[in-house]
Amino acid sequence: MTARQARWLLTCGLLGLGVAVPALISNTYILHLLVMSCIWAILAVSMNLMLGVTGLLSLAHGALFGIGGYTSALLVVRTGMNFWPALGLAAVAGGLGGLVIGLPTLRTRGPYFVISSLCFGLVVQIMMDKWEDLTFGPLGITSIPVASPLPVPGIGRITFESLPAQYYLVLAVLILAVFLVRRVVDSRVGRAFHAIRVNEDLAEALGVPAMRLALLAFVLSGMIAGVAGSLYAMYITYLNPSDAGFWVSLNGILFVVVGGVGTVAGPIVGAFVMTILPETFRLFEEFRLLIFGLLLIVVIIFFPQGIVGGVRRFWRFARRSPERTTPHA
Amino acid sequence: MLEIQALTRQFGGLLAVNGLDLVVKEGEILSIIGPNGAGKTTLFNLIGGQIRPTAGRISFAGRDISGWPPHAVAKAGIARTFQSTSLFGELSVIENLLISCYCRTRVGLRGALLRSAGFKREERESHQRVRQMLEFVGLDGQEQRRASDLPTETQQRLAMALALATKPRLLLLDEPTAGMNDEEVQGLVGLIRRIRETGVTVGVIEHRMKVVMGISDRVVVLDHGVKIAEGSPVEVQENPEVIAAYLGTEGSD
Repeated sequence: MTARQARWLLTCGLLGLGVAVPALISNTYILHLLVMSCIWAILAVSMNLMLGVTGLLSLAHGALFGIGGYTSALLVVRTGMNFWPALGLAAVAGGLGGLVIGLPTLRTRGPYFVISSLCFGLVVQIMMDKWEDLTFGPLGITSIPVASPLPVPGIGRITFESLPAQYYLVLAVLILAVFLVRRVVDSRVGRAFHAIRVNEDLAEALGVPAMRLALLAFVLSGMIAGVAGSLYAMYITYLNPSDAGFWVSLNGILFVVVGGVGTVAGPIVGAFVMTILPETFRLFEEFRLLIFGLLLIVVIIFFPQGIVGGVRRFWRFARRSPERTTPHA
Repeated sequence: MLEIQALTRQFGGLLAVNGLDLVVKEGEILSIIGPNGAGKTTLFNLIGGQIRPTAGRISFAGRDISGWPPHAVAKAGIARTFQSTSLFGELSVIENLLISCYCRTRVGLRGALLRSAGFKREERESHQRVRQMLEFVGLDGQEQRRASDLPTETQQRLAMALALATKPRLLLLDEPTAGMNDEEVQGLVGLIRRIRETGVTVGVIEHRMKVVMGISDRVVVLDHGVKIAEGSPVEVQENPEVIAAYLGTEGSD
């Protein structure tokens, strides 16, 4: 069995498992955790496109997530718009947010980019807090309705009142996001993203317009973050400015790093593990954050490539095949 | 094809390149030599767009390219290599080369998302071009190796292949033979000659006199940012100013 076949088998198996979950698990709490995992995984996929592929550590993604959430929630609550066009507009708003924040911040690199993206992210969050006439301010948006029924030709209307239905919705969006990002990454544009991460000066010298492409990565990533935020607002039914905050960016980075920077599966694995694992530590209550922190340190020291990188290393070791380059993402 | 007029670049109080006039003729191999700090690499950086000129004009194939960003210069048809061999170290040889196909390909996001016919054709063409390049520089069979794992000489060949994959009309090589033994140098000299035979004009910064004498049609000598001599290899070698610049005149040094 080649590595490629093994990966296919694993992907299909996991997909099958993902689809079968609501039939296997009746515990609504676990299903709720899985819904949250999927939403966070979408955010992680978005951040991985920036951090893992293009090599830009953005702390503005919490704001982009929030922009998506606020856009669709406000449209639905204030204008009574149908959820689906609102979801599309959330993606557009996230992308626009990426463009507007990217234009000034992408003139910097390294720690300067991290800090400036953080600052612009905070500005967005403050706007959500203070522009009360539009955003309801610190009170947040309450009773955001569930996704409108989706008419599907041949099947009829799919409703999203039930938890399993919402689970399938976020799972489908996650799969779609991974699929689309893969197609972008596996193209000349995606290769140029990689080139910017590995050696930006050389990429420029070889004719890659780095600024324009970094901006494109920011916009695409912002669109996906916006979708994640929109789904989050719809699912939780409540949104306030802290959902556009620093902690969202930080969690996103955590998912990507723990799962495996620059890999396809990494951000998803990271989001699931980091959403579900802390909940199982509830037994230890006050030691929860301590265990969490220790775990993170262990991962960063011993598995710099995250869980996925660690598994890969183990797999290679088990097969005793020599090290070779793995295609990225 | 490349015309440089009164090109000047100042770093603080230092004139790294000072009022330089230079012409590169289509189809030639031009060597640029000079002692350390003469401004050779600065000149390449100015042409390549890595730094902007303080004054002066660079025109290529009739267009004024002074101050253009590097990616635009590459697209215009000037490719270069760097002194410390510059590669995408953590990527494989084939990934390195596919990146340098960027500026001669054009299918965008939509084609990539839909996997359109144009996308597939272009991917095929890029892979074919990469294979040609690998063969041309003698790297076939090494597609999957990590660029940073290659020996110095092979890395230099890959760096040249990267530059060539952008389909340049003018190729600038910054000390391609640095850190190599005689045999490897011979191999690279042969490669540079073959590059010229494919119709690419070559400008090369070189320290080894044997290489300079062997491959150059013309030689330009820089010292302290100024052109002190220009001509055939033999003329330049006998020029007293050049000898003085390299060995120092009596009394100084």
